[in-house]
Amino acid sequence: MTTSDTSTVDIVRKLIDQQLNLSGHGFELNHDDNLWDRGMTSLTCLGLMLSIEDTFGIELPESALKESTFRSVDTITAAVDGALSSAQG
Amino acid sequence: MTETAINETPKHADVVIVGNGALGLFLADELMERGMGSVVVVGPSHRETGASQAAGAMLGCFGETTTESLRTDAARTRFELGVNSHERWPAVLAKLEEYSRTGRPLQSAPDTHVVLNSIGAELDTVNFKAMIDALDQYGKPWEEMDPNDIPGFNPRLDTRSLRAVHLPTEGAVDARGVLTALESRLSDTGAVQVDRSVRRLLGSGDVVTGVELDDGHVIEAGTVVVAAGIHSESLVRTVSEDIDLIPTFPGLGFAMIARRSGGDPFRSVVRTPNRGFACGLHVVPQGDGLEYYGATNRLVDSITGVTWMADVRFLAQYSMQQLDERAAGHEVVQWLAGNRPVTLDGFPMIGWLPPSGLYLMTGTYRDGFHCAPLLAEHVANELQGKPGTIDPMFAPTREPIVTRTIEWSIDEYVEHNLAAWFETGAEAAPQMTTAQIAEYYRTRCVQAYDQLGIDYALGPDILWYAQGSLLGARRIRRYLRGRQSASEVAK
Repeated sequence: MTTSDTSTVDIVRKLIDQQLNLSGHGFELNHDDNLWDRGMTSLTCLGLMLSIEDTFGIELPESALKESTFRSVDTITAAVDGALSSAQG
Repeated sequence: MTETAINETPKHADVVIVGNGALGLFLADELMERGMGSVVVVGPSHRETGASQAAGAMLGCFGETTTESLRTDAARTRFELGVNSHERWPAVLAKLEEYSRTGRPLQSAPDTHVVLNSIGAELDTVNFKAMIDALDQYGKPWEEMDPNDIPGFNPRLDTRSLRAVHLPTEGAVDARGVLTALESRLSDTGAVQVDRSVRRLLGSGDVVTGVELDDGHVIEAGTVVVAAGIHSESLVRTVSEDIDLIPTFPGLGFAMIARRSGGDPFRSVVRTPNRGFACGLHVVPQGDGLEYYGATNRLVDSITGVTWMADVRFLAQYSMQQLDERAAGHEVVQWLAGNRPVTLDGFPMIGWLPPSGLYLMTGTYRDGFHCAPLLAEHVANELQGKPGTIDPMFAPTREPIVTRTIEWSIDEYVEHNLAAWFETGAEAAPQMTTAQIAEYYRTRCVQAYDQLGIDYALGPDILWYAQGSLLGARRIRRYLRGRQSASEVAK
């Protein structure tokens, strides 16, 4: 997989929406919106982390298991891409 | 430990015990007494971050009773480990007293007072009642008394105790004094103590042949017993990743030893019932004007010796409020932090592991010190090929023991959080009722189970941890989901 960027972002967005149900409430999520200001809690973050790992078949490194990783669509996508490329490398 | 001991690190032993806490040292003593060949105990003499060096070492089992203690057969079997351990201690103390190096009796308090105050919420009340029921069931002595008559007990009026029970046969020992006495006795009886850590076990998934120390020195052994507390799981993994162990988590506890600066000293252990995720607030006289105030409990991702400011505040404030308001002027002479070995299901792990020659004893959570003499007898028997003296249910490669339903677990979690809510002095808006606070915790807990996607019901301490740690939640879920899919395949 060389340029999975588009699909990764789409899947990340979908998984975020499953947790936060932003689209259901008519919110438009920008790529750099702070999710913690959009209703993310420690428990939705937990669910998001688990669903991301399951969906992408990855294991996020321990250093990525912190709030800042799950700050925005951008930061999550970066973490997923990082894990995907190190899994292939 | 002397330089000589280090220089003479042996290359072979019949038994190497990894870990010099209470479990390791009592086992070594038992093996020496039985003449089971050469015994080497490996562990750093400073014992930093270990559970035993930070222990309050209450010789308590009924004082620890909760509503859970006798509710299921598994919990009752665990509880009776404590009851049977208790009977060993008079002989243990008689044996060790001559080796004491502290100049004080090893038994630092002969008895316990359990107080019921109002700040610990309903959880205190039900555990207090469970304790009295258990005492009656087992025919143990107790008497209700006026809390004002407890020597040293002098709480703030707003957290004063309304009931108190005297347990005349549950006291405490000086944990650090007992460890030193054991070391001294082991030196006399010829066990070798090596002031090092074990880096890894040697051998394969089939057989363990020895240990490698952190300086590269190798000790070959017929049997290796891992009794290294919260380090045990990772040490076992150095020989094989495939051993199906119950996961363990560090239960970080904080306590302090203070020198009394005035007022009547405590002459007994004075404690609350077990409460809010932890072991209850307690003071344990240490002798020479010293008092041990304990203890906090929070499950953490990795072994640590740090102390959270919140834990310092918790212990200092509640000791002053609930035990003795004059504690404010006491001098803290020692800060203790220890990592209890907490298993996923809360039960100890005692037994042989699949590689031959490898034995595990850990997972004793809050009462490893108290149970150590009894477990030493059991393990010595097993090492000799004789029948053990405790129930085989504690085998380390078991399925997690089930003691509750998910619904029960949620109720329990709510109850513990309410207890913590009121004890910490958290305030809700005046119109907010306790039922609404409970509802908040209930909703969170239900959501946590939904997110984790597991069908094994966790204890309140593990649930609290899983909700606050992404690493912990992932580890718990993976382990349990792995078992779910394995059992589905088996069907």
